[in-house]
Amino acid sequence: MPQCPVCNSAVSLETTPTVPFCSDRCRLIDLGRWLEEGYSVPHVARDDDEEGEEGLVELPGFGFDEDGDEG
Amino acid sequence: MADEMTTPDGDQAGEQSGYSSTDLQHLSDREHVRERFGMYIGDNTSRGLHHLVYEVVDNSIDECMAEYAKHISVTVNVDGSVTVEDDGRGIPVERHAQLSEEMDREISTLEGVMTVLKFGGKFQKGAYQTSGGLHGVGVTVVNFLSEWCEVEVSRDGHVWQQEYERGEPTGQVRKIGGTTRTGTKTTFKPDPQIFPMTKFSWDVLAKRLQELAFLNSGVHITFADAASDQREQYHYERGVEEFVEWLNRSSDSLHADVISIKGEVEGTSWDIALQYTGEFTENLHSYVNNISTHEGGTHVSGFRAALTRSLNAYGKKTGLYKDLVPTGDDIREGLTAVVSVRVAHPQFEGQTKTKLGNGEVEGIVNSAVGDFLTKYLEENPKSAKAIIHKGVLAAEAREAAKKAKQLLRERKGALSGGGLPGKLRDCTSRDMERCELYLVEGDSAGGSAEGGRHREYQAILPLRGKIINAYKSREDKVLANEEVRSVISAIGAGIGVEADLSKRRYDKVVIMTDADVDGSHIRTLLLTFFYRQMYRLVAEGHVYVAQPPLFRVRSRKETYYVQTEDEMKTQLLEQGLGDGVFLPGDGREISGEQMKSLCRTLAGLEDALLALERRGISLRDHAGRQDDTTKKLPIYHVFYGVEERWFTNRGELDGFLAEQEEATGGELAVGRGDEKKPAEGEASETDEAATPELVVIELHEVRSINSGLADLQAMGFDIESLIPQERTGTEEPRYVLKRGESEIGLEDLRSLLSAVRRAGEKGLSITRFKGLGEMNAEELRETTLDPANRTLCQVTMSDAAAADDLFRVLMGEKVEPRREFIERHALDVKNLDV
Repeated sequence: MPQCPVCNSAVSLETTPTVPFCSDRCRLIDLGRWLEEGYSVPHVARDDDEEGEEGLVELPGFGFDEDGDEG
Repeated sequence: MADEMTTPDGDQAGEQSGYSSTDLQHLSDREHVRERFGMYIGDNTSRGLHHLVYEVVDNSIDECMAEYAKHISVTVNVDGSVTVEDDGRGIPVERHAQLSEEMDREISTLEGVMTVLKFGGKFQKGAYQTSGGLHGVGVTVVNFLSEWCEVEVSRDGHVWQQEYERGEPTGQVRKIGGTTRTGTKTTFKPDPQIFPMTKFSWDVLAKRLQELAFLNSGVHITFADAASDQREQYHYERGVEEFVEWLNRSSDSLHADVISIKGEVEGTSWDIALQYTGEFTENLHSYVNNISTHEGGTHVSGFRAALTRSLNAYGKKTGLYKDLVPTGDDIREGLTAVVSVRVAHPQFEGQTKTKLGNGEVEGIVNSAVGDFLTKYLEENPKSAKAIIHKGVLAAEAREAAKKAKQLLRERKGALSGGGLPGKLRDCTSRDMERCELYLVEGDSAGGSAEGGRHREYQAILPLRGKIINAYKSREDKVLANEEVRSVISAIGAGIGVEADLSKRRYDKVVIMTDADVDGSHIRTLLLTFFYRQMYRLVAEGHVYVAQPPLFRVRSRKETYYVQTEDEMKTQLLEQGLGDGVFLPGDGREISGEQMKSLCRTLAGLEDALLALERRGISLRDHAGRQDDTTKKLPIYHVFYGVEERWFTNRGELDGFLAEQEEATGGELAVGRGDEKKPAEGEASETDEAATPELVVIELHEVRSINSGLADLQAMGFDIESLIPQERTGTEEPRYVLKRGESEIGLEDLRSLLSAVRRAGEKGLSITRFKGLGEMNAEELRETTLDPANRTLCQVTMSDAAAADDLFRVLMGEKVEPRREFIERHALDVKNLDV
């Protein structure tokens, strides 16, 4: 059974009106977190960002000129 | 003495004259009670009726508390009367001097207890320390309000008995036999002249009797209904602690133990138990001298104040509180507690007289609970954390509710005054079934999208991830508050259970993010938001993910777009093969189909080799571990204590484990593979462990490498061909790729691929888009916006749920598992795509 994103209690998808939350209260907590910017994902610097090293995921490079060669 | 009383021949005249003088007082007591029963038992409803039983039982409980009785039995008889029996000392039956003098006749103490108000042991501190019962009116009132009543006392080797009708003795106290036991047995039938309804409720009595058993640990209470043959036994050695367990029987407790606080100061004693559950309400039961105090009072306020004070002090001290400090109400969410105190002279206040007024009790309970809890929290950090976390969640819920209300209010205002988000570039059509909303990552892409859209039915809402400093030296991205609001109000269907999909302003909501890791994170963020807050929107298939291309390819003839890295590489490889000939340096010339199959094998190996190298394992090193006969590379990297081993298959690994288990004589302690990073210098946390821990790392990619190696083997290449060789002083290149006149020297077989692809690039101009923003409006329309050409993926419920799962890992409260997750997935970039 899936777990409520806030309190981790089991939630029945069929019978819970507040899916995926166990209760409207937990949904509100979640909404509150979105609104106060409490949810984040790691920022992965883009290839052209200078500062990014740690989270940088490099794609295997290959032969062509990455900047393209049009005018 | 008792014999004197049982003498049937009294002086009739004397008795008559005695009746008219001293007995007048009795009559008045009895009549007062019968006429003004409200003053004694509250009312004559079911509540008052059941109160009669409690009054009698309370006397037996007092005997138990004074440790004279152990068992109480309560039986509702077939005729509707009730029998309460205990094995206490038995009410004294001998002549009572004071009463006899007052009444001027021989009166037994028992008769006094049954027929004289405010007569009994409860008024002397000596008999009972503290006692229950309502204001000590006790059994006398029960007798007065009964159609008939009968008391049997076992005491001093005899059984004594007296009967009453509507409170008046029908005869003297009689000796009816001998016995070895002691106790009091009272049977009474409530008077229908007083009570309109005289039927007892099993449930009501059972609840109270069980409660009494909880409150008076050790007491055995048997409850039976003769008519239905129902029978229950209540006996709790751990008292209120078991009461709390019982109250929480169908809830999930947040900590295993029930916290129990007991003590006594200056004649006031407390017996308190509490435990937190995942529930959202408080479940508090309070008692003073076994009487339920529904309105609370000083004992409850002392308890609550101490609870809030000590939990908040702990939360602040340990840094478990961030910005929010829970209020008393927050702290009480999920609390189950029983607060039972015994006070010598309780004062009751309030409308129903169920509120304790004794001021001194507040301070006593407050400091006792505070001291205990402070110590408990220090000694039980795990429980403490669970409890504190619950309070923080409650505080958060309170704040969130406030914010959500605010948001809804704003939205109402927005509806009346054209308050769509300022950044929304809305479409002109109001035909919702046709309209689409593109959520576009980044302002510049938003600009291109605005230029490239079909203005009539495509709306654009540019969104930006906001970068924040989340943890030490780590940057995170959030969906800014304004962005969340913008998305909600642009879609227009509301959120949560009140959401009304029919009010949505678009039929399709399309998420369009960059085709890189960052873009996929933002997509995850948005999908999670939709899954959680706009569940129906996802469930009914209104959410889509756009598939912008990653490459633009221009040739002399045409311009086309390629969506993924894999696709691009495959295309280049196919085009580059052409008439190329590969010279492996052994005289062979590989071309045509052979060349094709060699390159495909190498392409299959490419990602796996990169994955291996990303672990910090070079192919050169790993080749050294190749099995000589099977030519397979090891898949399992095993650490056990100081030992480090490699195994090429599960069987070997299992063999090693069995060997070790035999040696240690037990199961091996298994550590989590992804917690250990042996290849990098991070072993300090895990090494030198007292007990050797087993860590097994499975190198999944080596399976592909092994199968690729087998294919190469069949074409006459061994693992060495993939590894550059030191070739000092040799002018001849190791391998050569020949295309027409040109010859390209190659160091190893792996570089053949890039050489072929480079050849495939000839005549093409390839641009890799680093982001949507690099596409101009025309390109964006052509590839991603125009329904004729675009690829849209409809988000299924399981996609969204998977996004939610991924999101939980990505945003995880703990930094460590997340870091590992990212690193693990960095090995396999594809897995980050949701």
